[in-house]
This record gives sequence, structure tokens and C-alpha cells, in this order.
Amino acid sequence: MNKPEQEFLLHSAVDRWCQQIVDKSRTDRTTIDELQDHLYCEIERQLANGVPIKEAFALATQQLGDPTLLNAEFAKNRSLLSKLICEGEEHQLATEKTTMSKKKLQQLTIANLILFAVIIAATAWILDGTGTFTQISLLMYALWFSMYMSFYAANRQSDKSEWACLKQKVLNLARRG
Amino acid sequence: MNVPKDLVAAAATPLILSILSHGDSYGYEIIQRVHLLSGGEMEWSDGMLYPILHRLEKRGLIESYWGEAEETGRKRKYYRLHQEGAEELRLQRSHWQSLHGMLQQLEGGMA
Repeated sequence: MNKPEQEFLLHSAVDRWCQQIVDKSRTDRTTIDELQDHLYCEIERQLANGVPIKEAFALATQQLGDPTLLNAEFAKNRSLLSKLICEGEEHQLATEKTTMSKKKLQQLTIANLILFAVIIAATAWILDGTGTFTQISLLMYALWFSMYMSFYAANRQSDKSEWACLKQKVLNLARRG
Repeated sequence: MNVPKDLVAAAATPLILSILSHGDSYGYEIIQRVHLLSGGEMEWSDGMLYPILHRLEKRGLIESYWGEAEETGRKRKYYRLHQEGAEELRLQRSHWQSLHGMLQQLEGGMA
């Protein structure tokens, strides 16, 4: 195997190993860069000692530890909200694939607006004359606004795993409904 | 003689903070220093360091910044000790010194 092929396979192997940690533990994607740096440092040290490249990779990953245990440790760092929402689901961390297009975001915003308008109108009809409509409608406006900002923020920061997870969950519910 | 895992876990925070008190560092370098200092007696999966570093950062004891490895230009995450981390280190050191003092007294025959 010539050097360029060896380097190519090594990069793929390192990418795959680090990706499994980030995917399963839902940790920040910058962790991939950090783990990769560590792996390459150890691989380079092994190579300097004359260890063949495949063995160097195996030794380096072995030293980093069992991926299952590492996932569990990284998972402890997730917020309670993230754990509640995303636990047990097998899906990718947010990437550009889950970023909504501008058109879709607009459609979702309009649908959201119509939904809340209907709810407010229905509330007004039911509570007419009871004196509580103003409080209820203010609450509805606040809820609509926070939902809108959630989707907007999630779309803007779609590489933040927790927001993307929440967004994906809501979208899945909407599709099923 | 290998140090038991639970003791390693308990010592992780003061060790990391102590290493960083001597200057900014990065994950791999921190691990190498731990291996060197322990003379191989401390068995620690290298990867376990990173969740601990992230937790310490979340607590505000250390902070991170991105740089480049000198030799390779690779992206590298460095850590530095925060003021709160220095105070936490002082506190932890005093706890360990107390424990060490107690063990020494008991070894010397004092109840």
C-alpha cells in the first residue's frame, strides 16, 4: 500500500471512530476535532516508535477507551432537557441537512400564525364575557412568539445538538399528526 | 501497584487543575503528564479526560480556546485555568493535605 492510500484510510478510520462517539453521546461536534487531535498525536507517537500504521491506530483507539463507556461519560454532560427530549432516539446531530430552507421556515411560521389565530378566536368565543380572555390571549401571543423564536433560533443554530433535537422532535410529531 | 479507579476518579479534578496551574495545555499533553507523574501506576482511559475537561469548563473552573498544533497545523483545543479554578484547586489541595495528615498521624500510632 503506498503512502497516499495509507493516509487516506487512516483519515477515514479516525473520522469514523470519532463520529461514533459524537453521534451516540449527542455531544458537541467540536468534540470530534478534539478527539481527532488526540488520536493523531498518539498515532504519530506510535509511528515514531516504528509501529505499523494500522497497529498504531488500533493502539491509539484502545488507549482512548471503550466507545460505549466514553459515550456514557459524555452523555452525563448533557443538560436535563436534552436528556429528556432526546434520550432513546437514533438520529443524527443537526447538520446542514436539518436546516430548513427559508421558504419552509416561512411556511411553518405562517402555519403557526394561523393555528394560534384560530386558537385565540376560539378562546374568545368560548370565554366571551367571562373577563379572562385578555389574560388568555396574552399567554397565547407569548406562546406563539416563543415557538416562533425556537424554530427561528434552531434553524439559525442548527449545529447545536439540543435545539436541533427539540426541533426534530416537534417536526416528527407534526408529521405524525 | 495500580491506583484504584475510584481514587483515580476522585483525583482527576485536582490533577487537571494542578497541571493547568503551570500553564495552558491541551488534552493529549495533560494525559501524557499524568502518565509521567504517576510512573504508569495510574490507569486512566485517555478518552475519559475529555468529558471531565468539558464538565470543568461548564463549571467555570477552566476555559478553552482553539489554536493550531505547532508541528502539524492541526486544530487543537487548549485549556487554561480560570480564577475560580485556582480557588477550587486551593480548596481541593487543602482537603487532600488534611487526608494525608490524618493518614500520617494514624501511621505514626496516634489515634
